[in-house]
Amino acid sequence: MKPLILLTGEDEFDPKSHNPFFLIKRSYGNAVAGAGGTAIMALDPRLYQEYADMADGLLLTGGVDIHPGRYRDIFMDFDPNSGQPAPYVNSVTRDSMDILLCQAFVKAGKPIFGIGRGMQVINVVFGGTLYQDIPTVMQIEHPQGVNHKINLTEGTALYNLLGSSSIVNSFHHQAVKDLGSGLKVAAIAEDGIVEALEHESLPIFGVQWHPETFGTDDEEVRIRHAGIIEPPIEVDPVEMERQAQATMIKKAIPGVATDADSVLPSGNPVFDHFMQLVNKGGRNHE
Amino acid sequence: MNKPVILIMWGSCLDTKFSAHSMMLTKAYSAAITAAGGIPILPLVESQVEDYVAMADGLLLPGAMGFVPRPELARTLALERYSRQAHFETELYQAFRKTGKPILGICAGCQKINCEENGTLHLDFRKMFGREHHQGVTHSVEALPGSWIADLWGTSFFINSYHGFKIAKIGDGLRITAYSEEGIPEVIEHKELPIFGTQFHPERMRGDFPNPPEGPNSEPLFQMFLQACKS
Amino acid sequence: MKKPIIVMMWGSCLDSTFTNHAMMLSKSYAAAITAAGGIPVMPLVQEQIPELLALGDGLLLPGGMSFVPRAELSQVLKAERFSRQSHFESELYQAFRKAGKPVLGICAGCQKINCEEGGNLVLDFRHEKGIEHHLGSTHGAVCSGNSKMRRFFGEKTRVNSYHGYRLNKIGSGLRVTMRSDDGVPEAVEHETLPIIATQWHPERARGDFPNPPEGPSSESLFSWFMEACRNSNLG
Repeated sequence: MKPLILLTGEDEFDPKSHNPFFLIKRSYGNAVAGAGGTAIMALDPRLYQEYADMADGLLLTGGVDIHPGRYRDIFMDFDPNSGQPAPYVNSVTRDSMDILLCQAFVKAGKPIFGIGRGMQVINVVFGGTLYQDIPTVMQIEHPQGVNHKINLTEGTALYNLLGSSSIVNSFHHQAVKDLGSGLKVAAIAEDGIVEALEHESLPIFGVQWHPETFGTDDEEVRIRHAGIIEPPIEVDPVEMERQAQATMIKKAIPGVATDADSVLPSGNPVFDHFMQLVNKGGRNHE
Repeated sequence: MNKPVILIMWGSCLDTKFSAHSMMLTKAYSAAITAAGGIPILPLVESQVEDYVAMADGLLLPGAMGFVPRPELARTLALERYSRQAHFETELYQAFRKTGKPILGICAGCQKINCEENGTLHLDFRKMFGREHHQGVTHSVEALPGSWIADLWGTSFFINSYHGFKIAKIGDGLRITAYSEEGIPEVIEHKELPIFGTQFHPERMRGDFPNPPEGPNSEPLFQMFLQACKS
Repeated sequence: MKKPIIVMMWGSCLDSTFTNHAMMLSKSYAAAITAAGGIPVMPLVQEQIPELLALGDGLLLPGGMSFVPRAELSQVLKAERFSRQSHFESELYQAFRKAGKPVLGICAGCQKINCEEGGNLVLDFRHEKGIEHHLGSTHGAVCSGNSKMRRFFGEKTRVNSYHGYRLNKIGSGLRVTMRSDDGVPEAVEHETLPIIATQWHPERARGDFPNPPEGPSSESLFSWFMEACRNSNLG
């Protein structure tokens, strides 16, 4: 049987339905599956030990900011009456889920792969700190929503994987400040921002960029959706929802093509690297 | 003592940051499973249905859930979501059914079970009966003595109601074991397999803010389901 | 066995329809009391505090709560909160205290008790130690020997954290019985009266989504409070 990979999801609240819910982007699970792992998502932070016992590896996905109290810092100064949006968004419940799971998998010696916020969680769990907002605190303009070049550190697993440099996407406003103990920098952007880290001995690594989008239409979809301003007027949203729900409940007809991803993305080097660590049973990777 | 692993089907949505196609699960469902002593997990990839069936002890098909961070994206979501979601859920249901592992369907999940067994639905029954069952009302229900639901809660109890569709023709091998006052099916069970469905939301009938507050506590229902999953 | 009636102090807010002055209570406080076997009630009229004292077996002073249907109206509340709400809460507290009935203070309620007993606060202590205690984190804490907190949670424990102010001078008759890992007071207990208060939120450390999820559950604290309230109207 394939190794079992546990993924963490986002923590959301819908004021319309008064419901708290979990959420995960489809591309994360698909990327894990394409690399040969069975992908499931954790659903209760109290069960961190059970999840760590059952799974073979942990994928900490991207999301909102980590509460600064978790890395012994204070919220950066911000005037809530300024009319400007706050430069940070955090989720109390997500912090607990991610940190508890990360700690449990570290204790079990099992592989951990962090993406975006996930990489920052790894850094915090090992005692590191973060810059809370790159433009305000670091006074740097880091690329947002566009690709940029990163340079990889010789001697790291990611260097062996991607070469001395690579082009990656960028969707983050926070960055690693002090590195946690036992961690080393595996990639840096040209402006000095940490883009990847690895543990010196444990099978744990993280990347600041979003590799789950590679080989998918995620970026296309993102740009297309960003351009949609108004719904077309001729569609009745209530009727549309009703018909859609009816479709959903109907028994699906086998053999009829869906607009689902029929082919899983494969050959994603970073995900392949993670699955290699998992398949090795979590022994040292370098 | 090993806790049973319960797979919970998801709903389609978009995430806030990338507006990317995503899956969601209302926390009330996983909380109900944890409280009853199970380990809830979310399956993520269609092609891995066989792996999920092998690792899990039971399947929960929840009610309809959706989330669109920007209303102008609702159409793009509706067009894409329902076929993919329908296929995934069908595959999951059929795979579990084949193994004989327990399945619990709630609201749209119950309707899905009915359709998978070749039953049909009325898509807007309020005009038939002139009674609103949608968007959260409480009403009473009469259950058949000897049914699994009557064994838990007796033959007369209050439930919540959030549905606009109803079961019309009951699927093969299924029977209706509870009705609302005006004869709307509220609970189904399979005659032989450990497959159960409720038109109401038992995951909301427990915890700190049970709905309805005067209703029966649903913890015995989830405990019964988990017990079935353990065997 | 009759369930104890717990009077729950409210927070000032405006309603959505009329934007009139209103009172609110976060459901989690009431849910915690119900789950522990009590009957939570909210007092409404300041002149009726003597009747509430007779009716109630115990008092809960919750954390800061507020709600405005539109952000621009939050200024309207400031004046209202700090005079009417403050007076109401003082009167309630002093009445229950004088009657020797149990009082549980949470977060701002804990700070209120401290000030009512002559103590004071540091209003923005984040710059002292440089660790954020506000807006939802969890941290370790240590409980003093021979205290209720120690009995409930053991010597070392973990609690949630939602406060920007901290206790400074401790009110007379009160003793700090729990401190965070960085030394910030996290709970006080009265030396003789059945009054305890926590800087953290025990009503969130229970239920379906406990914070912290790794525990401990606050059940033992609320059990004690229920028991004390059951005994308060006897004799």
